[in-house]
Amino acid sequence: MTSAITQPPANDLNIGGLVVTDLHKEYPTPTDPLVVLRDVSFSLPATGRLAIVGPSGSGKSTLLNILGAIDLPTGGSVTLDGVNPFVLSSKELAHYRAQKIGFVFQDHHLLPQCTALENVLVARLAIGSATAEHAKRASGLLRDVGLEGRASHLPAELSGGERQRVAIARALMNSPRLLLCDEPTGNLDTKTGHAVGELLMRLADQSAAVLIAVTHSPSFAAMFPMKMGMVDGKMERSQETGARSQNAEGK
Amino acid sequence: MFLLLRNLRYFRGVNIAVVIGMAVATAVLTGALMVGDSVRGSLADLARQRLGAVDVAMISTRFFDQGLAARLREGQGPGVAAITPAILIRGGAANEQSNLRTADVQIAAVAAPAKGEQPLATGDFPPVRGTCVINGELADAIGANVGASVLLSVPTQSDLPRDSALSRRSRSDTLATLRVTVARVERQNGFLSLFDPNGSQRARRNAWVNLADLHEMIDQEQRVNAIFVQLKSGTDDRSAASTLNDQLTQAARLEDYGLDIHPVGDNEASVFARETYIAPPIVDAALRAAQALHLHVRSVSVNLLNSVASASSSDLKTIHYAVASGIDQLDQGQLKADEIAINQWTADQLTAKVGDTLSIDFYLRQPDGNLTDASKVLPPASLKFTIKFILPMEGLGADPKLPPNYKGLTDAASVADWNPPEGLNIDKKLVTKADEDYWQKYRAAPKIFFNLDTAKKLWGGAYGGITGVRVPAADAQRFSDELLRQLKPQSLGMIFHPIKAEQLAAANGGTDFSEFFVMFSFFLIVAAALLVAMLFRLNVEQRARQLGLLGALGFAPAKLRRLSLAEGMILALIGGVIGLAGAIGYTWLIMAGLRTWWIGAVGTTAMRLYVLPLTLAYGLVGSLIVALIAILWAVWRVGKTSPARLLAGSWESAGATGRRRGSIWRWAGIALVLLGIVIVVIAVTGRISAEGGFGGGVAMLIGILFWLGGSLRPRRPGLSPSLGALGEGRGEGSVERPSRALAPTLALPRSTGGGDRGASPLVGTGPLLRLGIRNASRHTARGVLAVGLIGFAAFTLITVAAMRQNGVPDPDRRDSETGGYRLMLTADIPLLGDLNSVEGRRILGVRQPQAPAFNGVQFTSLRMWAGQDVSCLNLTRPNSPTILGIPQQMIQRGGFPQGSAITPAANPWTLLEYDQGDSIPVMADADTLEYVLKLSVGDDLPITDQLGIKRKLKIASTLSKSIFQGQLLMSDANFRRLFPAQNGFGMVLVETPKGATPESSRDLARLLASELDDYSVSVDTTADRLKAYQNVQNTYLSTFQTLGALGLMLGTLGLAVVLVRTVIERRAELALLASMGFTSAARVRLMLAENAFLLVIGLVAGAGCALIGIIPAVMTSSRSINAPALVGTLLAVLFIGLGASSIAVRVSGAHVTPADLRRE
Repeated sequence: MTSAITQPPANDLNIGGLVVTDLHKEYPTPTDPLVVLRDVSFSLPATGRLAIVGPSGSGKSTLLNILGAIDLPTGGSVTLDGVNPFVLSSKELAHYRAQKIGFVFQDHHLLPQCTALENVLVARLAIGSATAEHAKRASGLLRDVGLEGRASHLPAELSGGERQRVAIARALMNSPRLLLCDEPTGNLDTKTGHAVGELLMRLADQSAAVLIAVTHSPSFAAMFPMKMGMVDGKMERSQETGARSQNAEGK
Repeated sequence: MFLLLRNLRYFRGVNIAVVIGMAVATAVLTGALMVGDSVRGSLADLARQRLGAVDVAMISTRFFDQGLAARLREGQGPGVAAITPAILIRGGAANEQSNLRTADVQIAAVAAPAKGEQPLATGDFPPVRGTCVINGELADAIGANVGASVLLSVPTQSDLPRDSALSRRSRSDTLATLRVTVARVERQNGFLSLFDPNGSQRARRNAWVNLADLHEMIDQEQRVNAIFVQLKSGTDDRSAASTLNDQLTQAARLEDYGLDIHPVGDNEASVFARETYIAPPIVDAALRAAQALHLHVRSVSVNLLNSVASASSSDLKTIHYAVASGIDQLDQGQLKADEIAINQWTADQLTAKVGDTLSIDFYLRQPDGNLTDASKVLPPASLKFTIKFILPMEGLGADPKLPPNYKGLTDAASVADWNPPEGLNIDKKLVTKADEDYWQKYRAAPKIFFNLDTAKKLWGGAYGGITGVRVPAADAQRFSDELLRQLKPQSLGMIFHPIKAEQLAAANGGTDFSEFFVMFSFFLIVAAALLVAMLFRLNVEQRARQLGLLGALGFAPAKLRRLSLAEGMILALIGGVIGLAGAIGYTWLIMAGLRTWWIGAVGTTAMRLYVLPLTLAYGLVGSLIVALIAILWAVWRVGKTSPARLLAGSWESAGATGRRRGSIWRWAGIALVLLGIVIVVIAVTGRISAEGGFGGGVAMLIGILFWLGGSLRPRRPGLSPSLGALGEGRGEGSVERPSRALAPTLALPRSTGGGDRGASPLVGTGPLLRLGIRNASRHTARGVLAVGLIGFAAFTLITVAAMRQNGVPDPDRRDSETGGYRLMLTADIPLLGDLNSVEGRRILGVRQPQAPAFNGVQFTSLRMWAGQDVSCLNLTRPNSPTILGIPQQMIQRGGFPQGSAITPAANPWTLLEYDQGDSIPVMADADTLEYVLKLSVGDDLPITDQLGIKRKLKIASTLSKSIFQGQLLMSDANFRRLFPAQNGFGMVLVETPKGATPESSRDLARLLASELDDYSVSVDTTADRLKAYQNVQNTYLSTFQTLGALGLMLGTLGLAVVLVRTVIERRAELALLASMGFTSAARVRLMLAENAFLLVIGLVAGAGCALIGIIPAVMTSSRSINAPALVGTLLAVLFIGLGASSIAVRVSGAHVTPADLRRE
């Protein structure tokens, strides 16, 4: 049984975590506006895990972009640990993105001109200059994702799975509070996809971040304790996988 | 920083393109500035070569004692190295073997160097007697080599002003010739070949002769009219000139001013002038001297009367040819204005007594040079006088020393022996025995005495008419000393000028080639700047996803912009530095062009490259500023677009009101087009200048670009483009269509909803073409920029072509550029006779004064002060312009195309006669005024007149592109006031009878040239004179056109770059088409269609607006357009553009395969 999540529980605001309220997004067209998100609401605790599934064009990526503060909603709000990013100035918003958000894209979006290590370090440059400490952390993250020997390789010299693992390391570089993954295994074969999925779960646990992933992959979605579906811009509760603690609440 | 360096390295392909674009922009901009430096530097070099060792010079219109130089040498300061007396005269030259003649020759001679002084030139110089050194220009003009016999002709130096009634004006009296053998032809640039005190860059024809030969030739023994001074190195020219002027005042003697004081009669001495009439500044000095010494002096003004008749007696008695004198005071008392005194002899002849009235008549010189009886032009009352005193036949009453010496008159043994000047008719039948007896006894003693002011008014003329100043004999020496103290050489035009410093300054301040070339290169610079902007924008756009990622990672927008800006500026700096090297090459090329292809504009082959570090710095900074603006334009959107859109590869910000903004642009465009049309219509009606029409054309073109910008705007900018026209969007709801305005053109149905997405262009004929056109709307700025580049270049080429003046104006129309005159004659030796009359032609020595060719021909003679050429032929800044005196009848006649005027006037020529207070009103050619003199109507131009008085010339009105581009025009009356010694006519305009054929005009020109050859005349058709000016302007326009064409090429290149970029962007699209079975040729056609669309729109818009803009200019002047050449140029641009694009597409995109889809 599924149900639309519309209202977050008030008590979660006090303990941190993610609260999404009445999120709405539409684009102007010559005729009627094109509605992509319809009043999406849900909340997740400080270490919540959520997989979002749904058909193409249902609004999953748009929701993720808004949660990552790289796109603006038409209405509604998002708060992470009590902070609503959409009321921040553009400079504060950039700072928020750099410190609070880690994004893993389906297209890894690595900088082709930079090595694997530099691609991880780039995240640090958004906050300030990179020190030897930061380089050490970036190397550690690359070791964590199993790419210890590939630090000096350019993206063109890495396989698809390796590139995606660099992207995960980059997302974790600044110890984000919210890790967002847009079909991180979409371009990978089953085996590699599974390995990347495992890695993501493990690293998210280590960094105690909220993890939200958009995926078409049932096996990847099955790794999440909570799964929600999106249809035509609305969010519907899917069955709970039971793999982990069920801590997402919605209506 | 590492990111910056990585970016620069990784994207080196497109970065190199940016660097190249920037290098081109810097090369062109800096090169334009360096052209100015090089022209200035070359002109300064020429000035140094032209003057050689001469640093300071005095070049006077008066001759003075050559010994003055020696006296100056004795008192010279420590800075002077040499002082050389010299003579400079303008004349003509003829090769006696070949009979080739030429006018406008500077004939000069210098004294041999004094002991211990350096000569002015090396080799056998000064030339020995009977020989000459000529420069290459003169040698070429008359075909003379070493050993050739050359006949030089120069004006003699008259003792009387040529405009005075008693002056001798015949050919034999006014011309002197000298036969010399060419000893050397000097072709090397230097003092001998280039010397010109007026300092134009165009080498003049020079002949250097022996000083003694020239002295003899012009009958000025031991007298010179110039002194050259060489300074020791390190001496300041200006302070040296000032010191020399002080020394001149000390060193000058009365004979240097042509003055002599000798006893006359028993008790008096008189000041006499070599020139017969004592110049007004000398008279003033004499009066000041007398005042200082408390002496009583009497000024005298002597003239010859034709007749004196007793009017009151019924028995009319007349005496003829009586010498008369105006005088300050008689011993008997003062004469009033209408009173005279006669001597006893005259009283006896006329049986006149005190209280009787006498009427007089005498010859007056008219402004046209003819002599006439005063009774014919003056009111009879002004020639009637009452006898106040009858003087006894002693003292003043019989004083033969009162008159100065009139050659042929006062020196004759008897009246019968008088040899009067030609034109002055003495009827010797009227001379009686009593007259002869008087002559034998009293010689030329005046018979009649006038009040001095009356005498001056009657025959004084511009030269004052004073022939002597009498002082008490006992005080003569004191007076002489005081007069010398009072005389200021400067007031007589004897002034030392720091000629080298002045000519170097003029070389710097003349025609500003930097300005011209910045202007000429404008479109080239703009094209290069736009290319940089476009390349950098492409560079930035290409990295949308990367910038989106950095944004998503938390890079603040300002930081992203800074990163992009820093990257751009590093590329700009690299390009700029490379461009500086290019600038040197570019300037070298332009200077080579000015020496060869465009020599018509500068007239000298001495142009060479000058590299000034400061100019390089200015050029680099200027180019970096241009680049900064271009790069800011390219990066401003970084940070404006959400990271999510950038990640999707889109630059459009969500929610932008594209449609509304498009509509604003469209309406603004329509308003500008309408404004342009209105401007053109106003220009056609003549309310604003014809050139204003060009402004209308520019407004229209900008309007079209605005409209295009609004119309090419994507209709749904909030959505990402990706595959665009094919509608296979990667992101959600990919919809992109041109807005409504273009829909009919593109045959797009206006149905709403998503049903028409991408499908409509494929319906109907030529789907690929229409698909290509629709693609043009995907990048508005890119498209409009490309159209703008092509459009402005086409506009420039056409308007420049329209500014060319090749038309021959109707020579019979007074309002044409020729003013209705067919021929113009210039004479180095002023003509002293009126060509309109047989008598005048006879005076001029015309052998067939009654030749039928003169019938019905009207000659207008103009006085000329031969200063510097102020036309576009002279690149230096003139400070002593050539001035023409316009006679009254020509002012009334009017004509010539008029420009603007200080006040509206039906006939702007009459403004020359208006009183402008202290200023003298003058007319000038509009272009001369703007580009050479850098003045506007109403401005004052300071000059020093012939008497050394500082005057202001006020520009009262302008002429448009007339034959008077090299001179300023003032009324003849004012001319005679400012240049009283400039007698005779330097220019004659010729009107042939209506319907005269060009052949008959040419026959007349030949006749005039041969009959007046000794006067060193050149006779041109006015059409030829105009053509000479037009050629210079057309040469400038050719330069402009060449650079405009380069701009067009750069625009075309920009278009190809856009295309390559577009192809790269759409590899996926092309790969998809390939996978769907589209052939390579079809894919190329698709891509080319977009480019052809932009190219054609640019060419049509630019050419259309230009053609409308030039309508007023074509309607109002003799401009003509070489239509086939122009259409050919535009078609060539079209084909070259398409060819380049085709190559670009084939190289960059045609080889994609379906496999490339996977790589995307």
